[in-house]
Amino acid sequence: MMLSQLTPEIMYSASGIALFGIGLLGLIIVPHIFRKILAINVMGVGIFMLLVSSAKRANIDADPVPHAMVLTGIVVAVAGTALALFLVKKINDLAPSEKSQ
Amino acid sequence: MFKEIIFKEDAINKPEKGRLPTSIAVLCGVTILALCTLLVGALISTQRHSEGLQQVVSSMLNKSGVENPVTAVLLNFRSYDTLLEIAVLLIVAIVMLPQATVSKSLSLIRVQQSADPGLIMSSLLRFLAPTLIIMGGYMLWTGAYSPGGAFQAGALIAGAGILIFTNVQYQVNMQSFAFRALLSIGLCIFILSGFAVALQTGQFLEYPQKYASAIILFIETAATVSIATTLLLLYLAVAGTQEEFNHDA
Repeated sequence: MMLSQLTPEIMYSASGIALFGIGLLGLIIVPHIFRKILAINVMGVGIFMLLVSSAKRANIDADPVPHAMVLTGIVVAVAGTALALFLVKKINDLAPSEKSQ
Repeated sequence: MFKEIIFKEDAINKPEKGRLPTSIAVLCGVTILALCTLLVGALISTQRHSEGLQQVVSSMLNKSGVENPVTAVLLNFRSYDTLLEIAVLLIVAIVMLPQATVSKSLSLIRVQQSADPGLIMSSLLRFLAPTLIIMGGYMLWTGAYSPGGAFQAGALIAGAGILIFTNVQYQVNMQSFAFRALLSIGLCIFILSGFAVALQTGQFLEYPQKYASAIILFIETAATVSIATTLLLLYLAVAGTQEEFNHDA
């Protein structure tokens, strides 16, 4: 890899991919369900970062369409995370037999 | 209550049962590392052959009614996305509402004068909550010209709401008709505006150019109210201590 190719946009995109990988690894190997929800969020943030950083092309202004899509995606991710946490809380409330073991 | 979920590992699933063997975990790590390297390699080696939509958006921007290209995409060029986003928020809110029955007689907010929130909380409330709400209004207005808009404004106002209603002095009543109305007003206004402009232009959500600016501001204001209420509900339903209100009300 040529060092001249390492523009900030490429670095941001690569960081997005790295975050996606970290999140995916966490989703697979961490057993606790709360941390799995966090891992899915890290994956999502990585994808948002990749999308936002690829919106910027050389010498012209950033493409607003991926930015708008990411903004919509963040709202949906927040709603999804809240729903997942709510379901975890319900499962926790409904499983008293697990505590006694 | 929320701390229990985080720390009480065995209530959800047993870590010692659910944990993968080390060899498989290492294998997963190596595979994902290889996948990421492959993706980065693909990213670097791929030539961008698409021009993107930046020029299309900037050439149409003067017809959209706003000056900020992201707001123009969100509320005008791709307003279906935003409509469905608000619909998703409403669906999640309906799932997380604590009780299904609506009681019209109950008021939206209950104030307990006797409760003492403490000096720090009351002064935070006095200075920070109005500031947050004013900042939310500014965010909503500035979305037409620079980064900002309905979701950012809604998030700020929801922050103010969390500050107010995690206090012992004020409680929000999720059973009241007013709360449900606030939750759904954004989607209702959005859909009604979509049909109203269709009478003029013939297309659902295609704004007449002359009034686009006003229609976008109108929809965004309603959406801000709904987003703020929904985010407040999401927080209170997951982490709040509001349950006692519904019982003795």
